[in-house]
Amino acid sequence: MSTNPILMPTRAFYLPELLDLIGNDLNTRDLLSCVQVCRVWNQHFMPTLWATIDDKLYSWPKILSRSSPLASGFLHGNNSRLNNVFIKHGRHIRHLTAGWATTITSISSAGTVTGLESLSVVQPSGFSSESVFSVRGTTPLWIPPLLQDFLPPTTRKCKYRNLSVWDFVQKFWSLVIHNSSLKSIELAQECQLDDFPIPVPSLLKALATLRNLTKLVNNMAAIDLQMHTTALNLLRHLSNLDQLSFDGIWNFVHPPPGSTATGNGMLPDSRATVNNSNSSVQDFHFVRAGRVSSSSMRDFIALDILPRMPRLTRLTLQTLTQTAGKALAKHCSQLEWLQLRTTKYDSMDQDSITPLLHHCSRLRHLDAIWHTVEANSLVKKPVVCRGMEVFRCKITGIVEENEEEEEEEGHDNELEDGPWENPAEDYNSDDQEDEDEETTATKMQRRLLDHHQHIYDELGRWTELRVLELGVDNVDWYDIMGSDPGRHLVDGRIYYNYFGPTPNTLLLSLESGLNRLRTLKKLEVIGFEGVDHRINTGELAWMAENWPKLQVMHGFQAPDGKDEYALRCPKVKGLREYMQGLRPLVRHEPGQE
Amino acid sequence: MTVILVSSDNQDFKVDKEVAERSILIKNMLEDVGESDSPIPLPNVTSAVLTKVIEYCEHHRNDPVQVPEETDDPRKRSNDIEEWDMKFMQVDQEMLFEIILAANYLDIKPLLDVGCKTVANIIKGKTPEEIRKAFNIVNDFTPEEEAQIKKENEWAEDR
Repeated sequence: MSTNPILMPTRAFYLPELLDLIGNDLNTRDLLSCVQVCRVWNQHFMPTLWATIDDKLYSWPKILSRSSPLASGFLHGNNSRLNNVFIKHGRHIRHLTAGWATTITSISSAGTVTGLESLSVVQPSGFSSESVFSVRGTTPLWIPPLLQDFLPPTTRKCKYRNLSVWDFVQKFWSLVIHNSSLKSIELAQECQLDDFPIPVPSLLKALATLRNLTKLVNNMAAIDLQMHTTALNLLRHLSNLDQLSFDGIWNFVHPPPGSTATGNGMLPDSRATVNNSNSSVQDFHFVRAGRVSSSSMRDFIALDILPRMPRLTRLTLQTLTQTAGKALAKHCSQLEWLQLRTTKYDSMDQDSITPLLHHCSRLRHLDAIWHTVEANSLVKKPVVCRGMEVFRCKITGIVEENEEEEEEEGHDNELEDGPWENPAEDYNSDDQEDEDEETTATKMQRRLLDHHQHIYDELGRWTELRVLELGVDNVDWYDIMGSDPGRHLVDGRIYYNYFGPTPNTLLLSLESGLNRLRTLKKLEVIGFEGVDHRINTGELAWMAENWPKLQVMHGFQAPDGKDEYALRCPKVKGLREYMQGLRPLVRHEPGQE
Repeated sequence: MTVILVSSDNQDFKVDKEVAERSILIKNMLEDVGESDSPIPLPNVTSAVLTKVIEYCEHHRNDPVQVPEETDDPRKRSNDIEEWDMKFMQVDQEMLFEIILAANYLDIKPLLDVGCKTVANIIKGKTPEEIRKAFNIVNDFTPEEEAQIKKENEWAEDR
């Protein structure tokens, strides 16, 4: 406290930039105190206090549940106080996160909110749908779907929904249209709306007014992009968009029925008209929640969407088809970050990732644990992405290659054997054959070893690697939790619904060249298929010694935290304990799928 | 190479150029003037404050030049004041604000940040009345206004 109260530090209060700086370091609670201190502080801190509004936080839920009357009349109910507050302070709001219909309708009605930069619609937390309905009798936003009735009230759609829902949708879009400053719209909520197609032209018209929009996240199926053309038009209309994200859009996957795009009132479009307009999307996220995609959708992504995104740096997809892999390699050379949300139940193309390793030199984050990279492709053509930091992908094809060679060898031998079978030399044939088999086996083994070491040499060049995961344990732990876990006995081990080791994966053993990864000094996470990756105490001791930054090991820990692993294979537990002895700080976590 | 800085009360301070150039204002001045050993007057900074500011610049002379980075959430940073800076800022409030004003005038961004964070840390967790007490601020609201502000911002109260 000041020793001299007469010298009040009031001078500083008149420098708004100083107060702004101070405000940046304060949380909402402290800002609330600040606005109550004096007039000058009130004026300065009010915009900061109101800049970010999230109706899930603080006392919003209490206020909203109090001021939201029943669903039928929630727009015309007694919200005047709330409205007045928004009329007075709404101009300060920059970032709005809304989980309540009332928030959107009140703010939109107030008409003062015109400086929004981000708008997110989310599910209110802390309320189950039941409690909101039966106890509070209010309408959370996720009951009236946002866009389904973005139509004049006279159309037939309205008989399915009451007028307030229609009104709400209008209010939402009115808010959007009056905030051309919007940089980001997120409809981050899942809501199935198969029955209610949205008029795409109105939607595009509304979105097209948002010249600053750089991020569009639609996880709600509310914007019903049921036509390929919609996606293309979005890219064309929203030329500044650099982040586009869709989850759970069911209808997006259907091809235009008979290509009647114009007949449906869509903006006229053909592949030719948008050919010239590349989008500036840098971040594209497209994951379908729930429904298996059609092949036409995959083709659409590969042939129409990806080639239009030359600036793409981040991509999330469910799976990567070979066509899409090639498209990425050809058109998206800036790609840095790829995540494939594949599950083990998805069918997927083999080796679709390989072209990226040969063409996308900036790729540094590859998260695709259920995909595979062909071992040969790592050594036969140069891998260009030298800055790899995260590599989660299986490397396969090693033994297969060898088997082929074996066949070839066998074939060769047969040819060569021809003369040996000459009865004239029959006296020597037995010994000769034995010797021959021996050299072939040694040769094969050496070749296999060479092959492994080549691959390890390639991996060893990724000196920036922080995460290296070459597989996950293939046990279906969910089935274990189920009623009757099926037990299987394989090689003296007990397995639960065991899928078996991935065939032909890279051996993580010292004999095959693991020690060539001693260059990976930044490695923090190593993941593998448990004991199926042929890891033993020698390998663990080597890892403990050579990877100083190692923090996490995926492979020796069951996801449920219980020690089902010990049942499955006591060796796993033994190895984990051995590693814990060497590096007690290394955490053992279940592999992330 | 050294530079001579002159405080508002006409005291000369001889400092290394490298130290003085922690102030963007001085750095730009020196660049504009070119090679010159004429003293630089700082009419807005008293010798007491300038002593402190130079102390800060001496300590941070080797810091990398701050890159203006986009913080994800400006409200999340804070509290991360280095120990030396924390001690350095343990001054009476008048001096604290003088340092902030000087940092603002001399354009020394890291010092300005540290100063503002220190003030923010004083504010944190306090009631309006406690803040007024801490900064000798007079409450100029009428009781009605006070009630209204409370009402209009009740959403920001903890549930």
